[in-house]
Amino acid sequence: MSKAKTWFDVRRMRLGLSILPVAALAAGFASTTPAAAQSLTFSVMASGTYDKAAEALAPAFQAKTGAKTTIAAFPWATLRQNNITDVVTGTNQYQVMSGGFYLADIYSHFVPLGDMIKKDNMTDGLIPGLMDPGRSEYFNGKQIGFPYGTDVYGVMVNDDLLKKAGVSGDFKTWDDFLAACTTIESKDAGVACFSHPTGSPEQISAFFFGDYDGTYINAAGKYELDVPKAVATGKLIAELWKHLPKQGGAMSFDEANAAFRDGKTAMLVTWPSFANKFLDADDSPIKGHWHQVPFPGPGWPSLSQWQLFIPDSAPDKALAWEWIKTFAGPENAKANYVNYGIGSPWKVLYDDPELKKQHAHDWPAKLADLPRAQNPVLSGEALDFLNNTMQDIANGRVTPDAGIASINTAWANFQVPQTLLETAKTVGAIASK
Amino acid sequence: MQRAIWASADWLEERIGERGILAAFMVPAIVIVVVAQFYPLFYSLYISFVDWTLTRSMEPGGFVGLANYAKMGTDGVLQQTWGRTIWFALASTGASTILGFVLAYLTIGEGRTLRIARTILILPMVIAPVAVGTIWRMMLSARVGPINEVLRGIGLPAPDWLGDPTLAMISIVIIDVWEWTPFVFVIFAAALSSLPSEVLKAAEVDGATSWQILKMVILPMLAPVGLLVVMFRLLDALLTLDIVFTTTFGGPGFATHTLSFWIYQQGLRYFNISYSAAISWATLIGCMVMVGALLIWRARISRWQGA
Repeated sequence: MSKAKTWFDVRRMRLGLSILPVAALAAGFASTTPAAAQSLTFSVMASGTYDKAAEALAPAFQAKTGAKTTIAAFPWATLRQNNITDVVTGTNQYQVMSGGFYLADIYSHFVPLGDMIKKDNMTDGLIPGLMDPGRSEYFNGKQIGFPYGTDVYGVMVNDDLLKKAGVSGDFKTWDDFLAACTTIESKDAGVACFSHPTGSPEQISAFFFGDYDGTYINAAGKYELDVPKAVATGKLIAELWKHLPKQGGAMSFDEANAAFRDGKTAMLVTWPSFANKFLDADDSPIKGHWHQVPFPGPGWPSLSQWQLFIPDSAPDKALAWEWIKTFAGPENAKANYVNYGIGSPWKVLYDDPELKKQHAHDWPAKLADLPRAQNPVLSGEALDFLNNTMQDIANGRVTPDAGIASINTAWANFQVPQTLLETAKTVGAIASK
Repeated sequence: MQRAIWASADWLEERIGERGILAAFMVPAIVIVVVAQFYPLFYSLYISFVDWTLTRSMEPGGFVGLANYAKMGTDGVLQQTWGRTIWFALASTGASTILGFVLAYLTIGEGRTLRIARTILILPMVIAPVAVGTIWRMMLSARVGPINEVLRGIGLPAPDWLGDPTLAMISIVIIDVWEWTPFVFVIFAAALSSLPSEVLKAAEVDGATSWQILKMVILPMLAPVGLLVVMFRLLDALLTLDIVFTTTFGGPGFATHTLSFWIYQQGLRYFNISYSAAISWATLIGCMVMVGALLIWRARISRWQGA
């Protein structure tokens, strides 16, 4: 064929030239083979604790196993969503997932760990009861989660301010706590009773679970609260919210901790693992002047028992289990605690004489609360609805009666995951009729 | 190689002709548009008629007819979000339209100062929405944020912007107006610049004051543009998610749950994918009705101006 001379020839050549790059690209894709090297991606909460501990362990793990180890850290709400999305969409980015009861919707996708736990004798040395259903995660009777990062919702008190107010800090119930608030604030107008990370909506349920001692599921197997008890708890929370610092309706974790540390509040209600290291820092004005008290009842303190799961899509489950042993095993329990404040399910941490002495002001309360701490038997959607409605009750947008009624109405349409139903039977969260 | 390519091109032209070759060039673009836009759109319509929660099943469930649409009538949270979202859209659109027009009117001209002012005024629009939300969340922090520090410093009350249920929604409006007023400003600035100067001079010669010229000449002439701006702003405000996500995450409680946020919650946090699709389609139909009404109104005004 002769060289392009006419308009049609030019167009043909352009067509031909346009095919070339496409063909080259296609050839390039066809010849590219993915790298065969091992890799492991671990999804974990971005908190400055768990993620930092994982990042610190990753190089040694990579050196030991040869697997490129990536830590994918997200805030809690995003972590929960990312984990679920990763599984239901088949993206399968994460070979080990960090999570908890709120992943109940995808429990069927996790590998049972019982055999691996038994083979490597990973129960020896754990605090008793932490591997039970309701604390660790099970599916169809098989354990699917391995615990790490054990923490129990706590109440930290300023010794000096409580002494000044003549309050003991020995709160059996949340009504006692509320009564103490009135006393504390009457003695010092410049001090609010307590601070709390009100800006994180999922935290308010700690108060609900702590005061409410009713059931969560009715005899028909649907989510439902005991109305009189729940309304009473709603009223209590609305009263408690009046004792937050001024403009304290949307405090971050750091703001809440700082308000307590700086003496603006007499008490702090939060996760100890997010606060205690900060409170005991060398430059903390409250160091040596605070202690943790047992969580008031009659409900139960929230348990944060992070679990490590292996999705069934993980290509190398042995490698994933190896990471679990490294990250959550007893060997790193002390380092994880000392460096990052990560509470541990291993007894070895709490038996360490030096640490025991250093933590004489907070560990006794934590260890006393652990036996009664538990996870709620609520799906993510049910828990979100409870949290948001409780916030509306606390802020006065809805009355406790209307709020609880709306929760029960919404909950009637939510399915109770089978695995949580099993747990609910174990922990007595189901109404008899 | 060149010969082989030309031979293929000749063969192709013989088979499908000139128009066929033109069509062949368009096929990749059409495929991308169909795959990326229309396929998901119509698949979501199909999903809205089945029962599908992603965490219960990887496959769509059985056909349930209008059940997902009927569920919207009993969803108390959704009903709250309708009203709240419409209120937010009207407030944000109204404020940004007025403010954008005023700023454009005040900065018409070619002076260096005016050009610099116009450049500064459009900066909020070029910041990523997620960054906008994050920055404002820090600025509006009740106890440590700079805005309240200033207010306290001058003796004014320092409210709990993001912790008070009423103020939280107002804060979202403020942030949205701050972010998108530049968009309105740019459009009105261009429209004002293109107004025929002889009409304005004629009005001046006839003795009209600046206020009369603005009210009786400029505003009516800008009405079609204004309606387009309102349409775009309303659509954008009705679908706002990024600011809510990064500042309040729908809180405190349900106080800042907007329509898009609830669709996001249902679809991507609770994985009630079919219900989320139903709400999305209901929203789409509502937006189409609104856009249609505004376009008809605009056409009438344009016809009236042309008459």
